[in-house]
Amino acid sequence: MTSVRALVVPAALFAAALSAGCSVPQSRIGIDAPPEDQFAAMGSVGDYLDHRCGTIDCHGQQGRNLRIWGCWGLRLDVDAVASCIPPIGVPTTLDEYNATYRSLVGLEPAVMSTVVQTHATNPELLTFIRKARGLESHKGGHLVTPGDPQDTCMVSWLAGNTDMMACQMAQLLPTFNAPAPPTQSASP
Amino acid sequence: MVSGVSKSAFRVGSPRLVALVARARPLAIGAVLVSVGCGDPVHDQLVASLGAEDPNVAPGPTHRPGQPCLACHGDLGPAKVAFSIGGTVYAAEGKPLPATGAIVQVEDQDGHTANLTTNVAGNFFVTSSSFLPNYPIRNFVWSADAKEQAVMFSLSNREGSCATCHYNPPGPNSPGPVFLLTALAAAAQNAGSP
Repeated sequence: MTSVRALVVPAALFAAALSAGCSVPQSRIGIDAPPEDQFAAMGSVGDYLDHRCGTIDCHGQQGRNLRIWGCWGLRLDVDAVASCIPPIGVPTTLDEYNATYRSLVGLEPAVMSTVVQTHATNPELLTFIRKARGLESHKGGHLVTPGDPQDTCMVSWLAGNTDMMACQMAQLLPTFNAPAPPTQSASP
Repeated sequence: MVSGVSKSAFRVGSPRLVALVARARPLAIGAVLVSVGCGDPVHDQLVASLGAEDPNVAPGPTHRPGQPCLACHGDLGPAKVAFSIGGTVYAAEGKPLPATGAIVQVEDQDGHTANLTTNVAGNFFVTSSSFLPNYPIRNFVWSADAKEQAVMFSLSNREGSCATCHYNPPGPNSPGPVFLLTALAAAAQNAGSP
């Protein structure tokens, strides 16, 4: 009898503890993040990042911490081709925008929360902004300057009110000259 | 202060110092050999993955078409000549025929331009000492008569080897090889030729 009680009592206590744990209401576990719909809108932050940072030789690679999907680089669908140009390529899909969004927001979630809560008053808390601004070692170099369309696009999104005009202008950068048709030069 | 060793024990020419040096020499030589052998394993693996030379093509400007040139012709070698840009252009989309005499026009963000002519293998390259672009770069391919033009719409942000991104088959990590004419344009040209 004693041995049965010795087994039953701990089991009952364990069951009680388990049920008490289950009765705790599930609280939301997450972060404060910038708006996903504004990220994925056509011509917005997602398109800018794909154009400027998401090429296959940069963040359009599986091995990168900040991974960017899109038609100018890495595709999410294994049957898709890394091109925006039809007929072989298709434009960036909603799934790709969402995957990039999660990649970026999940990079430094706690810091992202802080930046969003403070309406991006100090966006340089985020590594991706510091790298883009050239304040931290970045293989791609110094890409943006505070106040230029590229920086404004990203920071306005972090603040929760994306400047779409800035994002669209950012996709025209950097500007290049239009080189003249070449003349035959020395062959290697 | 090194514990247990008196200064006088290491007078120049002292027997203990000579014995110590004699004992340490093999270790030092070993350390030098190990440090020489320590390359970048990722780079070594990349070079090894390219395989042996085609026995029918001598090493030189026409060798290894379609392979990432800077894997060997980059800063880490093993080739002696370092390129800043290099690649292979094919005449038409989906066909293995090289585009001979095509001109690859590379423009960097400072406006510096290089016009590089493809050889009989479709290969083109420029040495780092002749042209060192300030990335990003924009690339065009022109036919020899400059009547046809293919544009690379995306930026190239840092990669000098075209084939690092442009390889077969086209897929989620590659748009496919670099070509001058789309399949459609090539078919139209063929239909128009006598």
